[in-house]
Amino acid sequence: MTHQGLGWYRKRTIGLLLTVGVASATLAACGSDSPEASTGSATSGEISWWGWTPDTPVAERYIAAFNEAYPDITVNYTNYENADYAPTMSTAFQTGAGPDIFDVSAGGNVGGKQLWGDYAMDLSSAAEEELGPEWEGQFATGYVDQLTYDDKVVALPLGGVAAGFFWINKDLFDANGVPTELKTYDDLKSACATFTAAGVQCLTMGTNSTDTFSTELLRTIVASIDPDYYAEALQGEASWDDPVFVEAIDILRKMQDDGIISQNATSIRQYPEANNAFMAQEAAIVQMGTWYAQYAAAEPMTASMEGAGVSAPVPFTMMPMTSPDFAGDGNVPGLVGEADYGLAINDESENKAAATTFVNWLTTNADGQQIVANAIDLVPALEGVEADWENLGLVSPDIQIPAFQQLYADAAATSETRNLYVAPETGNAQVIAVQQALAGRSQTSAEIAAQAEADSVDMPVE
Amino acid sequence: MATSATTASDEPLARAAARPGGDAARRRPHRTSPGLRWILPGFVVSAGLIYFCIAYSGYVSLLPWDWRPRRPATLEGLGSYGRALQDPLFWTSLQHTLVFFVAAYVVQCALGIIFAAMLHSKVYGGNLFKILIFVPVVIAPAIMAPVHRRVFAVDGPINWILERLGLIDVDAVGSRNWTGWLSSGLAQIGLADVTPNWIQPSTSLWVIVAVQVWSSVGIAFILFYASMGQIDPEVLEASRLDGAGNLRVLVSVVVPGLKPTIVALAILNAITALKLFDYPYLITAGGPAHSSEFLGTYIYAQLFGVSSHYGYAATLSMLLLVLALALSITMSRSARERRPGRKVKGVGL
Repeated sequence: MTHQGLGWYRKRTIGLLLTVGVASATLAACGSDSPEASTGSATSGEISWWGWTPDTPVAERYIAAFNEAYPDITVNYTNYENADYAPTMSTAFQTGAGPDIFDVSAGGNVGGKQLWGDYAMDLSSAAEEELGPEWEGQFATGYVDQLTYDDKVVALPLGGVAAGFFWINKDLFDANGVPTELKTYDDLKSACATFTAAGVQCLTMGTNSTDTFSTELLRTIVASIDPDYYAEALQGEASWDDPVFVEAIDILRKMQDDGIISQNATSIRQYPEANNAFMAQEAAIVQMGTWYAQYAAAEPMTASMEGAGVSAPVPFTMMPMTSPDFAGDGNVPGLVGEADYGLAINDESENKAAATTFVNWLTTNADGQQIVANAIDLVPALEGVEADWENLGLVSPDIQIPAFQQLYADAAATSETRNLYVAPETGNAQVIAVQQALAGRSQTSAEIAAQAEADSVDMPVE
Repeated sequence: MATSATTASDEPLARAAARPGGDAARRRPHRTSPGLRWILPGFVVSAGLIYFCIAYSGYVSLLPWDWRPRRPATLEGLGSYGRALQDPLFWTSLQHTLVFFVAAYVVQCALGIIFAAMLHSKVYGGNLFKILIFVPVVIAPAIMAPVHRRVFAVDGPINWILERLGLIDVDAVGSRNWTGWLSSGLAQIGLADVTPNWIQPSTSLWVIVAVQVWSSVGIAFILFYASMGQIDPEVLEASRLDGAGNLRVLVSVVVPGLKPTIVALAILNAITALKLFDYPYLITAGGPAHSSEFLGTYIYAQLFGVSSHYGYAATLSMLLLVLALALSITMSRSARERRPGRKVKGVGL
């Protein structure tokens, strides 16, 4: 090799090193922490809010009401499907592109505080500033604790939710002469036979997803066998291969064999398919929680029916129905509930002040909570706030208002939490158990229960 | 076919380079250095990004299996790898990958060869058929997945057809079941679990295979069609003079001539199987009960579906990388070993 050749290589090497250096610096700059964040103004600015709930029209109502008080703060809301929330959030936080405000729930595998709590700033002082030193007591019992993680209040509760009951299409029930109270398994079976004969699907549910909607039914069945068992099993005081759980799987399968659960349950998802089937009046019953009340008003129901593919929607009367006693042991399954979600503020947000203004207004301010209550998506978090039932535009207010008031009272009184003690692994194991139960008969109920026990992680009460 | 096409285009260059004073030899100093300078920044950034990500994944895979960002990062060595090797779902995913590869590959090759042979026969409306066969290749899985979900739904078009053919009965509670003789026949051959509910553990994997074949048979067809066009007509003529019929010509003359394409398709299918994610995620979500879980969906589930197990997801990703590398090297070597014999196969090269 000549001297000239060596020089060329040397130059090339230097060039290469420089390029690598520049590239590394660029990469390092991309990956490094942002400079000290500015907290911005409390009365103006532009903030982003990401959540899997509420639906965009509801969020827009919240924001419009907020802007009447704070016109110079622009809030941009982005709604994600449950399954998309975790991937989006995870990627955004890793790249420093997270939102200013985000939803956090008490548990579960979508927005659980154990997933996103690390990215949130402590909101206790913000709440104290608004509500005074006794601020925690002004929220519904337990809500603040449920959104506390590692001794940090990671989110302020917007409202609560309860599940463990069913929603029925009263118009379809009436049209087919089916009583709207189905107290026993046989009542339910008989009602489903009537609906099937009329070409209407009875109970629509979707299990083809990793979300835990489908496990609500299993839990309700368990409650009809032994009301205390599920909570005990979540906390490790009972095992999932217990005869109670095996019997619940047997009942689930029987419901499929008897035509109560549709055959397509394993091939559809709760959202959108099962929801659409109910909204399109193709199915008479669906199991959803209190959040589903928001569709009982004519306007959101019309929008939802259109979303389900109904071309000229005529809103129908939907009513909550207490769960039947599936096991016939005399136990009527009660509700399980907790703070549905709270609003958290990204600890790297550059608009912390404006974000705090928005979060405080919606969660600690009576006007904000009234807007939340009137959306009937949530049971309001702040004590003493109630929906303005007469002016919500319900389809059949005469019968819906007393039923909804009772439902909300029951929800507020529930003592068993919904997702707080459901470890993500356990939630996943329950989903798999439901899928295995309904998708075939190659495994016995006992085998499915044993698998659930093996895959679950206990969450003892702290 | 990709293998033979590359070789064919390389040969004139190689010959030119070997000629004293040839074109390639004259251009050599200009061909290497100026081009390299131009591509160097882009090359460094892209390679830096790719290899940085791989190295970072390798590092994360050595952290605790349930590690996630903002948690203390303590190196724990190969513990996650041990966990993966003892994880039944990892092996189930691999098994599904293997079954998917073999099934999709065999059916794709068979259909590709049949379609290519038929369309070489100057059938009426041949161009239309070519388009129809190839169109699924260019449609994004995200667009087609909801359609496939509907096609395979219990009350979807497939069952509608089977119902009209008298193969499915609808019982009193509205459930669809195989008609009596078919049901007992399936039970006798151990397929009692196969019901007209396609998204279920015994059939969901085959739904994914069917969808994959549908969406990619056009590629196989195009490659085989082009490859068949390069077979020397004299060879075909000679075989016919020797008394070979259509089937004999296809099996004994045409198919052996397609061997490079068959090998190329094997590599393409193996890569597709290893990185498969979109169809299982969008159609079956890897289920029900993990019955259509693949490595791609399992890694995704570990990262986003349960509780952000970054460490374990990185471990599975590294194992996937090792598998992909091993497979690529093995197949490339295997293809290279076959190359000397390729010219005598009469595929027109």
